Amino acid sequence: MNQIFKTHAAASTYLLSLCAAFFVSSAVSAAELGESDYYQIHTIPIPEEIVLEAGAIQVLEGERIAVSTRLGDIYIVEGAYGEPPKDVAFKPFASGLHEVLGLAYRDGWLYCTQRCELTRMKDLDGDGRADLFETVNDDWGITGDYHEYAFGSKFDRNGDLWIVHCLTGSFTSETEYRGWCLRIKPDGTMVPTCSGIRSPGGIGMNAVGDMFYTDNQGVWNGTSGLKYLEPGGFMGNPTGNTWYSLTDALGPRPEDPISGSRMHIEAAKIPELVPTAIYFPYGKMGQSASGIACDLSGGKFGPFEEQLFVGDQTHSTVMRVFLEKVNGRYQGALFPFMGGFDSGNLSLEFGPDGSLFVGGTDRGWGARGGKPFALQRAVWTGKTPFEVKEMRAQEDGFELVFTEPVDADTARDLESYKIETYTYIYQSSYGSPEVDQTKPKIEKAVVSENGLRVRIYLDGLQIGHVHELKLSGVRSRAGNPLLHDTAYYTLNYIPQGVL
Amino acid sequence: MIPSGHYGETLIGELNCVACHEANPGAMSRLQPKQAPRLGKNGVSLSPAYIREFLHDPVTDGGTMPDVLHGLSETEKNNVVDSLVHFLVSQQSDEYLAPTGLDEFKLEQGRQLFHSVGCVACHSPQETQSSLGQAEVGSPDLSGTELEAQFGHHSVPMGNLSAKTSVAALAKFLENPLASRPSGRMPSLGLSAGESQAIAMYLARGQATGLFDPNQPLERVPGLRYTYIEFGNNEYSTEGNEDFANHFPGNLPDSVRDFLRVAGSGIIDRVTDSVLKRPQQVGLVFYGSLTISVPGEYTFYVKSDDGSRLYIGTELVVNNDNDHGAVEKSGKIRLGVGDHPFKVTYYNRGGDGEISASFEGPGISKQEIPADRFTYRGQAMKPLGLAEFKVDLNKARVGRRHFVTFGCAQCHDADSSLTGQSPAGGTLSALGGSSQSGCLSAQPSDRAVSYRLDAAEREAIAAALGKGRQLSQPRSDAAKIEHSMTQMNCYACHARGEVGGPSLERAPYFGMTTEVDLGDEGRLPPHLNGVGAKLRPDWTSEVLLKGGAVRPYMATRMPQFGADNVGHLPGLFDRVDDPEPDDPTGEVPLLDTKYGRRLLGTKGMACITCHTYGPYPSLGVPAIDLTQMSHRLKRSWFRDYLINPASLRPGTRMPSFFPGGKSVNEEIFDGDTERQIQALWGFLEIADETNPPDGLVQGTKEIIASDEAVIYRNFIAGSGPRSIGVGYPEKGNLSFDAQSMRLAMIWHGPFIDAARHSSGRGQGFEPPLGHNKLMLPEGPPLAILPDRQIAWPQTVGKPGGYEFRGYRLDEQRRPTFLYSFRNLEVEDFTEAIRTELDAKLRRELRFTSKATVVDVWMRLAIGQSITRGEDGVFNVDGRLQLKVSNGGGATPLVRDAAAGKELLVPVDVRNGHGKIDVEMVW
Repeated sequence: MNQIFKTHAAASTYLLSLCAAFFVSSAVSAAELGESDYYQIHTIPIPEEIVLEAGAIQVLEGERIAVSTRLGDIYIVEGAYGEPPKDVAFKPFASGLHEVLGLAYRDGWLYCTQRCELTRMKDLDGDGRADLFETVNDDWGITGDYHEYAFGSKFDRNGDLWIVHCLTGSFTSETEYRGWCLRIKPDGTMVPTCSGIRSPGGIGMNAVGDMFYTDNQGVWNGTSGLKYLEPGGFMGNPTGNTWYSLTDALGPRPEDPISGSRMHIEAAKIPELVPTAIYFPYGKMGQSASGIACDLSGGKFGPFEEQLFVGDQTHSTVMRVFLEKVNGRYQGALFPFMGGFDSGNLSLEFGPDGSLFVGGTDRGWGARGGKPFALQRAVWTGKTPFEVKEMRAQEDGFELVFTEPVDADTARDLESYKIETYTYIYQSSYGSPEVDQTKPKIEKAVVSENGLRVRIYLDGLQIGHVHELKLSGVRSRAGNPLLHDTAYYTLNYIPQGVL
Repeated sequence: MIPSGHYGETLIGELNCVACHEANPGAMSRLQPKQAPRLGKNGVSLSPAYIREFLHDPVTDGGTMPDVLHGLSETEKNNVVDSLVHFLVSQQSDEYLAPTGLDEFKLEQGRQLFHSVGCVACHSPQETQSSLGQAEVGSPDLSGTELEAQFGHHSVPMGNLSAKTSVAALAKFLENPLASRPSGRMPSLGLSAGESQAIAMYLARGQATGLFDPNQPLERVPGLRYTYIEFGNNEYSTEGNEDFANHFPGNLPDSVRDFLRVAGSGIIDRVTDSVLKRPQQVGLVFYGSLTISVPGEYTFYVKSDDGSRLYIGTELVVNNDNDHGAVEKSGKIRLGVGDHPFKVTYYNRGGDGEISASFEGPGISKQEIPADRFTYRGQAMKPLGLAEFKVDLNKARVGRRHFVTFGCAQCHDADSSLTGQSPAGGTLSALGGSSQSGCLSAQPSDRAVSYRLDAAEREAIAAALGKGRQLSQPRSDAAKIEHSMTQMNCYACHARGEVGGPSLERAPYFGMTTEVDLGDEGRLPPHLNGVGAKLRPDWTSEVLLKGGAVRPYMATRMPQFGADNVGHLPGLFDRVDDPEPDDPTGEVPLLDTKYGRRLLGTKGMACITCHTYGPYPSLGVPAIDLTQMSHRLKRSWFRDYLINPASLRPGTRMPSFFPGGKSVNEEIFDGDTERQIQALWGFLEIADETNPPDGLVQGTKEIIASDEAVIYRNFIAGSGPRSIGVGYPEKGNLSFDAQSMRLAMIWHGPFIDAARHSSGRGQGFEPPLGHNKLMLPEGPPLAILPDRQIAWPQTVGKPGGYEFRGYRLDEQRRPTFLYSFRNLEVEDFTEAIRTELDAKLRRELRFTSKATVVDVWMRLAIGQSITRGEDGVFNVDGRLQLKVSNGGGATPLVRDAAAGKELLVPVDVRNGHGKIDVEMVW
């Protein structure tokens, strides 16, 4: 008979699952002590006539830093290290460049990644301004679409500079290598290195010099992620894979993923597909992941040595990432770190003193900070926050390492923890709600003798899921709650036979 | 899954059981039964063959019409159906007969519209999402396809539209479905006449037999063909322009002929410029036939701005050619009865444009030539199976009786003099809860009608009937909402409670009007949880009844169901979702509203980064217009939303600027969240285009070279995405194209406005400021020509052997561009020299090579005319003077080129070095 009523049966669960993704923005814990007791933000005053939409930062010798802008200027900033900064000078070094989102320095040359090319520049006549601009490489296409951004790295251990190229708009790759990572060798030649990129927000290395970038929520990205640029790897968005026709560097074009699947399922079929190392759950941990910096200060920035710090443009925050290699691939835990920056955080760079420079802009993409642009510096006060420092996957749960000994009673108490897991639809349409939610059972929590480690035993680890662990009941021996009581572990692989 | 669990009741309403089984007013009000389509003059107009087939077995068609004749013998049934067909055709309009010419542009438009504006929320998609991007239109026969398997059972059927009626009748229906189907189950999508016609053409594409069989003969069909042309913009390719040039005998100056481009074509009903996609540098050719029914002398008029011509047969009747303002000219011609070949050509080069054609003749006063005079030979679309049909009045009279006796008139309004008999089936309340008898029998008796209900449906109806008096009781307000949302299938697009929202299969068809970076919020309709607490009831009414809409980026349109069908919803939503309204009232102090404006702008929270503001686009994505907020939203919802957007709209891109209730802005009102939100609201209540927040009104940001040169690397219109603009203090400027390694443009006066690239996301190409803008040759600047007859090559950039190497600045910050062409290294420096009038440019090119270089030429100019004066200066089209020296090398060459003349200079490399100096005055 008629089929009208059956239409309603199709009334879907699509938006319902969106509703299930409902959450309250991550609460700041530690009522008494806040982030600013441990890390302080110093704002570097910017002269009125300068628009400093900081696209990239490079520390230079002599307490100077170079800051490039989206409008194509590069300034050498002096006096940025003062606490608070004073007698700050902005000296124009170059101007008229095209959206500079990468700065690096080598052998007297300042390298900048412009939208159209990698350039190196030098001041020949000693007047403080560059007068020689050499094109190092421009082996990629641009069409005139604003979305075709290029983010450049620092030099890696081989002296190569890596550039991640945004697609044309959200859905297409209209000219050469849009959606690829290209590596520029010291001799200026280009090596196609990874495919599958959508919309990067930053690029940076971890402590051993492996390269990562952030890729933002959208087509084939259920939520924003931190991805490991494994040479030869496919990062997950097949839109730019037509350009395999131009190069043999990565071998044959990988099989296209199936829309509507899950990334870990596709990664099991497509060997080139490198699963996202860290998911940034949308809305909970920012909305637009951006710059990446690794703390190599040897403790000057507090207890998080060799961890990665990742900016978020929309929420004006910096997040913290602990990575480990499981099954030969990176995955790990994401923690809130600090918020309250003035503009939309984009560029991150550690100074040699172990402070973290953060540059921001909210032009075209709104940011919580509210200021159109900013240059700030996060400095450790010397006081150690009570935090989960490291979180490692185990065959049957997680091992947590804390910055301070925990109170054994609360840390043993299963009521102190809450865990849920979820993942994202890996699909050709935009973003994804959190899906496939589970609630694994916490079976026990074992505290190490020195109180720095807690082993959580779980029934029901979920491959391919974010494991969102809330530790609201755990106290330090001093009786303090965690400064941030939530950790997000992206579990692509479960380690086998780990003690 | 009917959300209310009132499945049986819903069936009783949708099957319109109460047409035969009288229900009391309480039950009628509870059920809100669906009316059958109107027949007759003001109803649907259907092909007789289709009506006949349909009446034989309406259930197979998939709608809600029962088989009322199932008890008749085959002979009896044939007779009854035959008489009913004659009766119905005698009553209806003959729109089903009107042929429409196939227009492939319209067909494609309809194909895209059908799959994007919301039709496929209820109906099955006709093609897969991926095939919509392909040129070939899919077959209308979905049987056995993946689409049928995926959507067939969950979609409202449409019947065989290619057989059902004409494109014109279907289009009329789509434009206002409520006229013939007043119950709103098929709502209006606010389609224009053109859109309706396009969708109708697509849905009835089975009639376009020529699409699938090229041997189909052409027929005379209404309308004129047109070809739309763009010209004069050298960014366009010149490919395929010859056809068009032939349509324009002498109408365009030669200078623009090379820059023509056919940019569209189609069918139109009169001579008009309504199809233009841009106002200037455009042309149109209309052609077809003009029907003359009275012989005699006719006067034709063409009014146009700029030029136009009107031809009849081969005769140029009106010549209104050349550039001019709106001028009407006329001409006379004697015409006999018949269809006369007709053509109008038109172009507009610059400024305003218009075109119209009128005529007067025997018995016809001067008037625009009406649509019914125009025909062309094309592929006629007519209902499949349409045969000549003449109403037999005797049969129609019999049919009229049958229409009443078989109960058709119970449901259908066909003729105002006919009313149904008094309901014959016994009252609804008397039916009781047995699922075994009457229409609910597995084999309905002859007296009952056959819906071919399945067991579950029969049981559900019986269970509903068994509720007895409860069936007459009013529903709760919440249940009324669910019932209406079920009947109107609001759930196909909107989630509310546990139900609804686009299904995973249908979600991909929900798209955007243009690609904007809004994610799913840009394409999926909002959920309706708590909508009554969110929206003011007057705005909900506006949306439901007057087409109010605030998401122009969303391709799916909010349908209009009619006041009779959904007029009750705004009040219900309000009562159910917001039983205890706590909207703050009271005026916000004027001073506070000023802070509200501050908070919205770039000196505050910069809401305008994402939200449009009246006529001002946002600085980023086009999120909902801020000036509409206070008209739409309840103030308490606005407050709660600002504090935690994701709690009310999961997954939203709107971040909280008051995370945890604490404002990120600590300056205004010392960070007092409530007062800030109140101030925002206060300002939004008075927000209009007269008071845009800070950051929206962008002045120009002219980049000025005051005492040294300035460089601007960006997207510059005319020199490509890798442009390097240079402004000199002497007020001469240039733009270098670092993709092609060519000097692309030179101009005088102000350099460039950086506002575009320094606001919002900086999209688009910015043209130069200033005056005397001169475009220099496209294509590669250098070439190896062993033979002077070889045409100048086309390949630019890396494939052409070029590499860009950067630039060097001198002490006045003037660049020397560095690039290479094969083994030749080039240094390309330009300086501006002040003169009494405009500055001139002096360009010094220095070449070095370690290898032997021969036969290298540089092209300096292209023009219609290039002459060499006595002083050796080359003059290009009277616009540019070039004084050239190549260090004593061979003489420059002016030769014929595709577009006129070109000036080539030999690159004379001796001992590894060569030079060319050029002075440019323009």
